Amino acid sequence: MKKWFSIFKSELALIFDDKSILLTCLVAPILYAFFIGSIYAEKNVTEIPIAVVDFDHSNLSRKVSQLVNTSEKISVEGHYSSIEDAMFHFNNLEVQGILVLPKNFQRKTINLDGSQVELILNNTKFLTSNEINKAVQSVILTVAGGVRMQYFVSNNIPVELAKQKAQPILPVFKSIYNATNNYGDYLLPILLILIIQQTLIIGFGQSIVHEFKHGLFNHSEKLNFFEFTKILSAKSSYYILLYIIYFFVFYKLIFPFFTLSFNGSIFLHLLLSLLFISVLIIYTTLFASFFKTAIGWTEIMAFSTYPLFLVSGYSWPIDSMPQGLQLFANLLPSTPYFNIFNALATEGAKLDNITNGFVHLLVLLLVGYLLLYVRFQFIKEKMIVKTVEN
Amino acid sequence: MKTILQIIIIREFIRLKKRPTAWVLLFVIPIGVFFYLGAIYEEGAIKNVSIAVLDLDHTDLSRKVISNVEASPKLNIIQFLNSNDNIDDIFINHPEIKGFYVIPKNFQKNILNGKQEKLLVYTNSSNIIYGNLIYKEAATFINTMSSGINLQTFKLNGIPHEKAIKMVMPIRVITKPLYNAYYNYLYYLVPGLTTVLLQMIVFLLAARSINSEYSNETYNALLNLANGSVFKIILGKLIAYTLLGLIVAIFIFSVVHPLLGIPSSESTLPFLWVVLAFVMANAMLGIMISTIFKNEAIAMDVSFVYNSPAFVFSGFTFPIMAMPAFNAWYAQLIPYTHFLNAFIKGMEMNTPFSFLIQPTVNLLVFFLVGYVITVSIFMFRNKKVAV
Repeated sequence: MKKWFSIFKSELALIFDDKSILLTCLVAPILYAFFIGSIYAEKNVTEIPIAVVDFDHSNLSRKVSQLVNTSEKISVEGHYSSIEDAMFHFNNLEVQGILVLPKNFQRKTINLDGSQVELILNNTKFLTSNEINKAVQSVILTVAGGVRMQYFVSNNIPVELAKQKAQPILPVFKSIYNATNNYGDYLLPILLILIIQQTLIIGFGQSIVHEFKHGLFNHSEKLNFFEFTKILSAKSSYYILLYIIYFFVFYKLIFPFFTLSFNGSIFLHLLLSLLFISVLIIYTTLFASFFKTAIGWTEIMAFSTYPLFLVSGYSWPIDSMPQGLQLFANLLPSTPYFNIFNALATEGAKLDNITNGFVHLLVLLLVGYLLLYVRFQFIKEKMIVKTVEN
Repeated sequence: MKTILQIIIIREFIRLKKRPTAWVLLFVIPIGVFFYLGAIYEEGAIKNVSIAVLDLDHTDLSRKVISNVEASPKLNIIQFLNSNDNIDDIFINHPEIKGFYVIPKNFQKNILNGKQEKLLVYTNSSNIIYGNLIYKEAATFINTMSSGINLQTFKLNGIPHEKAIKMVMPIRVITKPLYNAYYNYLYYLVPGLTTVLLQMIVFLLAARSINSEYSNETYNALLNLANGSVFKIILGKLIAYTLLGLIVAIFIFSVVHPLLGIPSSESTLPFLWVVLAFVMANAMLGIMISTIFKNEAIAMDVSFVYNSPAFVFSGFTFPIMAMPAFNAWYAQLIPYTHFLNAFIKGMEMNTPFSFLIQPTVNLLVFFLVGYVITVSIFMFRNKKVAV
């Protein structure tokens, strides 16, 4: 037991001695959380600039332009007399869309002759393009409904009934768990978890590479798997404790700071976080054992953030990916963890609802442990051969 | 006879050849990760979303609503709910259901009596991709149904079919989504991801270019080789990393994107000038970091902290104008933000080169800042040594 504590102590010394691990594990998680988290502080995109080209110059065309401008999501940046003028600003990315109100727009609309407006969208970015489209469609539907209502009123139908007749079926949308359908509430919780994951992988991985190069794992030929696991548990205890604290701080401080919903029992969350951290530690040990230098590990793992996040199924459904990638996604701890975290924290699920994800993480822990055993035996044999040769 | 500059460039390539992680950055990332990212978005769009229906009316009209929903190519009804189901728990108990319609009681009766009826659409918006898709499909479908009812009313009032159609939809919006008309996620995201990784590759490679000379104790040999000229050292290394970056960039535009089926742009060749400025800026900034931090690990950490959020700060997925002032300002301090601006204009929108001048100049400013700081540090150090 004494040895366990001495390893634990030497790990602490390593962390404070190795500035890189110190930065990655002690500074980066909190710094990143506020730095990146604040990008989405406003959560919603509002006042997306668009241009209006009004060829009609009528009361109705001005009214439409005004209604579009008062919409929360978009803002009319300028009125132009020709599409070419508007296109200049569109090409310079100063406006993301152009609304063209044609000549005779008012006359055709009022006479119920059927008019058209043109909406040109810059679809190189979906979020802004979708919001403009939604806002303009909503304004036009309202105006069109008003025109139909006028017809019924002119046929001596009372205003209230005319209003209903103008739109016989009213769609009522209820966005559950994200009432305003905003990007911040959707992405930020998982981005924060991703920050925890990536800093742990990089920081702990550096420590493992160091251990294989200079520490106790450098003499793996003298160890059995039990001793190896004991050393690993002593090394990782500090990280487990630190990252459980991070999870607690994130849930209790950073989530409320960014007004993110956080449901479910904190104890259950921390229990699942502990399991997630354990799987990450096993996998990190396994993969870091292939690296010769800690810098090399950081250099390569810097590229893992996007691939790990994008394959997790959070931003793009796993069943829309090729079979091989679906299998790969399910081998990663982030896939079940993001899923169960979202179910618990955002949707308010209970333990019964996340059993599959929980079991999935447990299976990954066991598989990781087994693979680590195989890897350890391989390293040990390699070192024995090397020792004999020397 | 090779010049000193050529010797420094070749020497840099040989040093990289000996570093296994450089091989990973130059071969595994472009070949493995780029295609891996492409494979994730292979389908381009979400083709099927599972939904449920709660029909509280059970009439011909409500059944018509259901059959119309079923006819939607993107929505797949996987469950019919009943009044005993707790609406609040549907998404928790059935995570596969991403949205559901509720057809209220007396739906048919009220509509036939000329009264307005509501059709409720619940979406699990913890994932806005599904939420938006269901919203779009439902909005189109409900407005079409509503229009159908209006059409019948107008025709019953003796209005001719042609005129009735115009009355149903007095104003039509003709939407023209340019540059990615089919909302294809592969076309949308992958060019952004591959180019942001290009920045990281060049930056991270260059971030070990100078400090590794100190840690390998080869700096003095290099200085002798360069006849004591730090300018030749910087230039030699800059050319080496710029060349590598350009090769990766050409690989992206000529192999990765075409093989993934991403439409190529007619402006690719002239756009290579912008790519050159982008790659040079990152190579120079990487060299600058490598000069500032003699400790390679710290240089790598700083490079990681600077580069890894480049994508989210660039405004690609979440617009810069929606960010708080500080974040919007910080976004301007990353070369990728300016490159993306030029990339969207030049490669995706095919705008004339004049629109690319400003972002290209911005990239050159990054290069200049990197160069001035690097040279200043070298001069300061040399002065210190001389003293």
